[in-house]
Amino acid sequence: MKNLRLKSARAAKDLSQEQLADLCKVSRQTISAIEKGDYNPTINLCIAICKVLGKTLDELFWIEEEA
Amino acid sequence: MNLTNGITIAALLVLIVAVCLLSRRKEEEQFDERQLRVRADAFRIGFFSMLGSVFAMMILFSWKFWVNNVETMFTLIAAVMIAFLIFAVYCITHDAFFRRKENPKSYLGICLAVVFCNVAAVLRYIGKGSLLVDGKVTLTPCGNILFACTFAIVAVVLLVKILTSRSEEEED
Repeated sequence: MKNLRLKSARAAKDLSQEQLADLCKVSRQTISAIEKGDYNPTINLCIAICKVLGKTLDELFWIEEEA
Repeated sequence: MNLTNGITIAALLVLIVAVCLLSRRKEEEQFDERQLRVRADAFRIGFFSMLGSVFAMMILFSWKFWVNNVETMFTLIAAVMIAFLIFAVYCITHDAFFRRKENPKSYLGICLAVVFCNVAAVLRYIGKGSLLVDGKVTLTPCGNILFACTFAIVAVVLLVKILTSRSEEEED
């Protein structure tokens, strides 16, 4: 499942995938894979992304169950 | 010591020094967590491919024609090269072959240089006469064809990956 919340939070901070990747010390392709839903990051990387984007884990990574 | 042995030893020394220098990497030049996971998968696939190749070659060795016409060392090196090729292609296609901030173009240059050197060696052997030694496929001349093919495939995959990742970056 695509992580559109991450993509929009990144866009709101006016960061490219490359810039976010540099700040989180990962490759651009890893950020791209997370946004596309191709890769589930570890909790450490989730926290690093949240800190850079100024969001909580819930805001970026929590998946609501559909009723 | 003849000229070929001297060149081989010099090339090995240069390679060892280059590996020692390149192994000292900064923190930001390491593989990230996704890349490490992909590389672990690639190692597993490559390892089992090598086992499969060795098994296939054991069957080939029971075939008299193969034993009479192909050197054992050539067959074993072919198994290793198949495993390396699978590992490299898997890593390149999954963006896990290069560390962060590493330039794939320099590796492409190295691959093309390896292809060029091996093709030159093959042409030299063809100029001398035959690629076969006593009617057998041996490592010395035919191994060059093996190396040239392997690195040519890696170079093509790399080139495609460089071009496609450029268009991906433009989309972002």
